[in-house]
Amino acid sequence: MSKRTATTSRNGASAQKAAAVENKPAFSVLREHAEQQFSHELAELTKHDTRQRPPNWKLSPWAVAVYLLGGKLDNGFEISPKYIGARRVIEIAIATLATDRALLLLGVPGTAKTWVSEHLAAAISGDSTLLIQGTAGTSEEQIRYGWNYARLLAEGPSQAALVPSPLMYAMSEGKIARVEEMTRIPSDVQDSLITILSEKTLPIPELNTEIQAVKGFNVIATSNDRDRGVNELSSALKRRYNTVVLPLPATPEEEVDIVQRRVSSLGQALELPAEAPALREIQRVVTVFRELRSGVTQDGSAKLKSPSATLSTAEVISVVTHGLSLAAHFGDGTLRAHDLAAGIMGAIVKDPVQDKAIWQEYLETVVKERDGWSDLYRACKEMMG
Amino acid sequence: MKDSGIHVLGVRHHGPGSARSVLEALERLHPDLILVEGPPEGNGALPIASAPTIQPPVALLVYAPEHMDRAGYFPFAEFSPEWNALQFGLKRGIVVRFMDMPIGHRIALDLIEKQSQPPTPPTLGATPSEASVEGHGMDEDSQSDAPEIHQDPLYWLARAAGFSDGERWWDYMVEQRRRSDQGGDIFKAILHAMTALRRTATQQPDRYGLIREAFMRRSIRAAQMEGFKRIAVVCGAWHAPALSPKGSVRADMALTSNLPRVETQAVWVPWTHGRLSRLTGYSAGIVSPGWYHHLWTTKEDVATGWITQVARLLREQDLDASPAQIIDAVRLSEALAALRDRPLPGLPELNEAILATLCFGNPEPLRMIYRKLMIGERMGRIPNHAPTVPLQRDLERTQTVLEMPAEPTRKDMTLDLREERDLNRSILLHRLRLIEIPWGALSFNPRNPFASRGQPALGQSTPGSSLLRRIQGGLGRPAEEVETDKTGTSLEKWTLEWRPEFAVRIIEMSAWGHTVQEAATAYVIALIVRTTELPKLTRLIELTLLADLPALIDPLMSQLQARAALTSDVNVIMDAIPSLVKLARYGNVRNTDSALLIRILRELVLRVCVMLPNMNLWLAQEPQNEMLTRINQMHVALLNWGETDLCDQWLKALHEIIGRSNAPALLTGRMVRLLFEAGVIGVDDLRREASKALSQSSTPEYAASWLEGYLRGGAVLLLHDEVLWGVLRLWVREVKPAMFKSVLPVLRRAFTTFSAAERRKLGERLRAGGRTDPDEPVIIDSTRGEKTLAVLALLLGIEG
Repeated sequence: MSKRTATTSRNGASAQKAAAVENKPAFSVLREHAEQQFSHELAELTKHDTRQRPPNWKLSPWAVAVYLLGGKLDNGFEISPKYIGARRVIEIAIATLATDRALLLLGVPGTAKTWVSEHLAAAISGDSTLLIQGTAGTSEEQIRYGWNYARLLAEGPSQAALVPSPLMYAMSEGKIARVEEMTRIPSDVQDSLITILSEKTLPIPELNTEIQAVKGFNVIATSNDRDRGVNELSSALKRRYNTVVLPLPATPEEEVDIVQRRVSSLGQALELPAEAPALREIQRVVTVFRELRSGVTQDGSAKLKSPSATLSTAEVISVVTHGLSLAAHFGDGTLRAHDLAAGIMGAIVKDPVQDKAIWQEYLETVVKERDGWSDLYRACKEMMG
Repeated sequence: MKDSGIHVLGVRHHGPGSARSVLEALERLHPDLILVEGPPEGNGALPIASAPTIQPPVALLVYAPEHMDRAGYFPFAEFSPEWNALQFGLKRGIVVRFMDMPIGHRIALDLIEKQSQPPTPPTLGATPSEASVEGHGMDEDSQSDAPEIHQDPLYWLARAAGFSDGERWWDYMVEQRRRSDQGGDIFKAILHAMTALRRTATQQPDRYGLIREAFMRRSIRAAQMEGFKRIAVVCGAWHAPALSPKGSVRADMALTSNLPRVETQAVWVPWTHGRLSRLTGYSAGIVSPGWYHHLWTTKEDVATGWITQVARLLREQDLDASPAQIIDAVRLSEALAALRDRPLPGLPELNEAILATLCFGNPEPLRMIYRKLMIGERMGRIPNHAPTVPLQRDLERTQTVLEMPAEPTRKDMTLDLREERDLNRSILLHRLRLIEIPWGALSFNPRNPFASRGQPALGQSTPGSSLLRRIQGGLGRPAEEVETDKTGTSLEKWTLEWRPEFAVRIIEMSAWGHTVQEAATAYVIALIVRTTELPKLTRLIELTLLADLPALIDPLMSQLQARAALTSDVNVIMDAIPSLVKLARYGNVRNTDSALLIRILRELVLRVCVMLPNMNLWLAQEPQNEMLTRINQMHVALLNWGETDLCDQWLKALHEIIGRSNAPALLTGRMVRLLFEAGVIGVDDLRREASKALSQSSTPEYAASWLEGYLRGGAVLLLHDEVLWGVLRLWVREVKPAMFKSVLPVLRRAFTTFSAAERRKLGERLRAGGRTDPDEPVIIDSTRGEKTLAVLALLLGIEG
């Protein structure tokens, strides 16, 4: 049986993807996969990783933790932190994957669930591309396997006519598969994961055979707190996961740090000519978002209304990046308040009536009164017309 | 130090790992003397600790009889190293002694210090232990982020080792050790570490640190002089380096001689895990007694046992926790421990694993079981023959007879006072309350029979009335009274929670008597003399009755008489009357001389009847409300009492007040209603009074207040009393359109005092029509009625 699983070839779209991973792309891509972007870090880690690796893991669990949380190797090589926040969270996640239990990352939107899962997969399997995006339209074929219908009609059911899902490929290769937005997937489709997670096999009744997962296979699923109750996981499925809740950044400093790192790396990727954003501007955006999110000003003195939008760190990052590109292309290259105003307003005002009122109230009561924030106030007022 | 024959074993108080190491070290050392950090006053009580029936957690309580608020506790848990050292010595016939500074000195020094400071009133009966638990002062609470070395020596060691706090480091390095170590290395290591730390520390950890250590050295030297060759010293790790007897004898003598001292006594008292926990302010407390207990009792497979316990507790809360999940949690905790380079999962790993598997990332379920799990509530036991005060014995005996053991966990108990045993239980709880041992808290009877009778504001039932009712029911009172018992008045609901510091209260109270009854009686008699306010006195009378202490009635009566004669405040007298009436009604059941009481009471009522009409009743809103309640309560009390002449006097006084038309509207409204209900004024009078108050000439505010006073708490009455209903409806109907506008908000205000349900009922009643006046003929609009007939016929399937 193991022979067959080992020889299962992958075809179709995922084969092309694999090619893209293995060969460096000729043109620079818009966004590189984690294992490409940080290939040098991974290589260094592999070189210095002397500890025991679980079967089919590219790195030992300790090295994976270092890759995600950052640190210094013995030779002085600096590993950049990918996740800034509680060490505990990453340790539980890695320990979970090492026990062959599946991992479920929970959290409000923008708490780096996908980011963590991508980097975990990159560090453990060296491949973060085995991804199933959960949507309302995700079908069982996308989770298990589909058919090449031309071949199916011509030859009847055969190995060659089978189109494996990323999950099936991960099983046969002993890699990490990722399922994004688990709770968006319809419940009946979700439940097709149960056998895979508990029996670690994928039966193919048409060919009277099955795929047995090779050691090293595991699943990282992410799910959104806000979508709770859309397609709540059945308790049978839930039980197959260890659940880790990713928290929002605990302190403003932590959040500013996250935004700064991400924005500068995004700016590099997008080749924005603008200067690295001023810390002060980032701090201001983070302050605005944190205050509106928590419904209270930073000094705890005034209560605020919270808008309907989820104002996570991810939104801050996109606002700052957006402002940076505005400054680069239309301004003088320095990030200023009026470059940010449109982005801030766009992120906060999702409901044209309610959110606008909340934003206006915030502008008048908080932004206007704050020392040194008058430029931001003017820029935002201008934007509101 | 081995050459001197002294082996210092530095431990952490209540650390199971330390306890294991101490036992191993003792086994190896074969000492001929074991010295333990603790007050020497406890030496006399040591033999009790070897009794087979003693069950930790227990505490050695050292107290000075005159200064009970400064007693010192020395708690021991099953997993405390000190306890194990004691047990080891006592079982093998090795001499065991406490070696610390005597508590007698400490109390005396505290008292001197207190005299030089502004006196703060001692908080009796609250939690006397919190301020005085200082016996084990090694690791003081770390309040700031980075404590001074002397405050938390372990913090700095832990920091150096890369741990976030000292607790966790010590846990990992010492407490979780399960293997024996060769040659007592651990204690040498601790000694070294502490020596290094003490070198950098500038201060001693607690006030008497230097003196205490001098005393300890003195004890060691004394033991050497006596000829002991192999001395094992068990003390807090911080003190370990200081206990070498080589230092200056003279300096120690200077520190320890000529100290003031008070006489003390030592007894063993039962203790609880909750009191060991740091949460309660015990300075040598530990975060999780439950976890330590588990570490101590579980020989292997700590993680499995712990998670299984968690799962069982979760199931008790009706939360899912399957064996499969336990397996997953154990595996995750082990993987986490491996990832963190720990040999075994510790409490943080276990908690995180449990959170990820059993709780699906949601911390709420863990919070629900936190207390049971982390504290692991249990209560110790003291052998029956242990010396203690007679009062404690009496209480224990009573508790056994009544089958209500003292338990540290909060527990609800419903007592049916018709049962002999439950009645006695209630009496015991009330007596304990009198001597300020609030073991039970009385919650009010939720099924107040008066509520269903529509007089919630008038017929407030106090817990006392139920007991009285029960007594009177048993003595062949009318059947109707016994009937009400069945609806629940004979039930008392108590919440019981035994706190170990009650032990100190018991010792304190033992000065008053040798049984609970004696002590309560003597204590209250002393209290009566000091009580001068009438309401407090009457409250005391009530409590006394509930606690079944008939001997107290006479002194109470004479004090009441003395005080009542002096009181000229009508309010105070009116407050006192309801409970006195109650006492007068049932007093003879208690074989008290009610003649005296009745005489006092009559005098008081008459004084109120004279004073009330002459009083200036124009008061602010709040006092008006209070007065309203007072009038209500007095009214009900007098009606219940049935002394007709007093009732008449009272009603006459009320009538006089409303006749003067200078009383506040709120009170007038209420009095009109009371008079009407009592039959003093008739329907016509009522209507006249109502329209007078509500007429155009009076301000809307006046009308509003009048209505409020008239209607307050009376929605149900209004629903069921045709006359009241009629008067009000008629008045509303007769209001002129112009007037209606100004009256509407007034009416609305009056009605807001009713509950939503009551208002809805009133609305429904209004919509349903009904007669505004009992004499008015019913008018049915038949033309409108006929219109519905066709539809009804269709619905009912009747062919038209």
